[in-house]
Amino acid sequence: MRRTRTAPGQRRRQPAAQARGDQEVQFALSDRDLQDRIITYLTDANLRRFSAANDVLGEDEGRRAQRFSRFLARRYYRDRLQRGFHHSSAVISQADAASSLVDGQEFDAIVDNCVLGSFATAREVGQLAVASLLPWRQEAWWQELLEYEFAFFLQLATSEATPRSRRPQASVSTTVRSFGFRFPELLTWLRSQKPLPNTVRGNTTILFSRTPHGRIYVVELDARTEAVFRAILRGEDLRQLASNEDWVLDEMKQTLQTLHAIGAVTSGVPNLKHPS
Amino acid sequence: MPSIPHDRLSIGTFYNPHLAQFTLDHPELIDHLSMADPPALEDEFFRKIQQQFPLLLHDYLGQLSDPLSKFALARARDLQQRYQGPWVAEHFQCLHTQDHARSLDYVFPPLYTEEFLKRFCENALVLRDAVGAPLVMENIPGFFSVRRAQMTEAEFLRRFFERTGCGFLIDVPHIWLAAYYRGIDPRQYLADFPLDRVIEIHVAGVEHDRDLEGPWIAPTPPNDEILQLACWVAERAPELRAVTIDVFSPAVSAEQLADSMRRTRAAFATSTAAN
Repeated sequence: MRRTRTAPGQRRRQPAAQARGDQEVQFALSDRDLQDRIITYLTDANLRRFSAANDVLGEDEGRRAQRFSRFLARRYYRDRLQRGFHHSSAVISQADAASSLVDGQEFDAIVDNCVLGSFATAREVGQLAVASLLPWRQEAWWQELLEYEFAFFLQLATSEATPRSRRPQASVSTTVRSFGFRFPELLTWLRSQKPLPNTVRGNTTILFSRTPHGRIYVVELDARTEAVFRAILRGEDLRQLASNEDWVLDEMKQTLQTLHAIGAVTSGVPNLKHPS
Repeated sequence: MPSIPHDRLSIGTFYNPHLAQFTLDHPELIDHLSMADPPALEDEFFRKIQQQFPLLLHDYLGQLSDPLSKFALARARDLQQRYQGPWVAEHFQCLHTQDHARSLDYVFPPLYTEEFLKRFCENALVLRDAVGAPLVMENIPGFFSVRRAQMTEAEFLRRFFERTGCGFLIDVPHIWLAAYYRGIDPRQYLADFPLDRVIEIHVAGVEHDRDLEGPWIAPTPPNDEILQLACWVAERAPELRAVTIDVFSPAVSAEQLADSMRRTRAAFATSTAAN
């Protein structure tokens, strides 16, 4: 018996070797590893397209698994769209609400290609929601609200982990957006149904992030924190920024720790001392 | 803080924050509330809710196929200290990969094998000790079967309860669905389940699902078939203390919830009177 382990969902390329190979894998994997393989199969439409997983599922059971995958995807994105776009849904008819998208033909195409919880699918679904909602109102705040909800939706619908790296890196779903309306004042005003006050207008930059435990943060960025985050986004050496006269090392460390704590960046404080 | 009665069956539902006022106004319909999520910070009703109803911890605490993290155990302990329920609940489920890279985000049963049985037993005892309260475990239906299984769902559950002493939270619609997709009668499917361990029953509605091309759980009132099956289970469950209508969704209306509560109360009143 070959004792090699196959990563969950890994696919063999040669059909002739597949049946024999899959039989070996079935015995080589622990039950827990096999469960991982099933979970990966159910979440990844690309895997399902190329493999019926007949080694672990019977032929008819494979068809059932396909149906279950579609059910999972529709349920997942319906829930995330409901939660992510609930402010905009409150001011249009329920038939036009973002969550109703999952029952449409355009979403069927996404279901057949999606990786559940991936950033790419979250972005695709979110963009579809914004495009379908945009025509329903003409006010200036409407587009900004949809962009705000889109960024929030990306956090709700992305569970994909960001690859580890030696230096701080922006987490896969972290989003920074500048707005011409102030949040959360705009959201409070939406609920009040009063005339739009001038205090709702104003430039603001907001960071949306998600921790590995799934807690979502929406925070207004000050200029210095934004500078650090944008330097990380550009892949710049933070030691250069830290060596700038304007920065005290402890402040830089504190900023990085905060960004890490809210899930915006993947690792904590690197060595910030500039090599002399 | 109110508690689940010992001298009669408690019939309750899940806490739906958007129906908080309705819930407070109808103590004659609702005896207890299960908590699927912690209350939101801005939930102005929750203080009164906690004063008026016994609460049951039914959050996602972690999947017991894997050891729970210190974070997860501490969270479970904090929630139980807050709710002070007579038991806490978890599920026979394994929905995310060990590296957390992939998740189904939905209940999904483990493979019914010796390896998983050992894992669930070990991790359940750790959770029970951490929360300092009895643990009840809920059955989860499979929509398809996997060749690797070494035992039936009934044997897996029976051996788990024998080894751990935990209680059984039997979800009747889950049983009904598992039997339906195997093409057998649900009472026949239940024949080997350890009903003497049942502490709590869940009832819920089922509706046709377009993707599954068949019935599945839905946020609708339980139908007569589900309620009759639940009463059949109750007659065989001497330790039963609570029946909970398993519905929590922003889509549920007060009218639907009231209908579910009345139908469930009527079914169990008839069942109790007949015995």
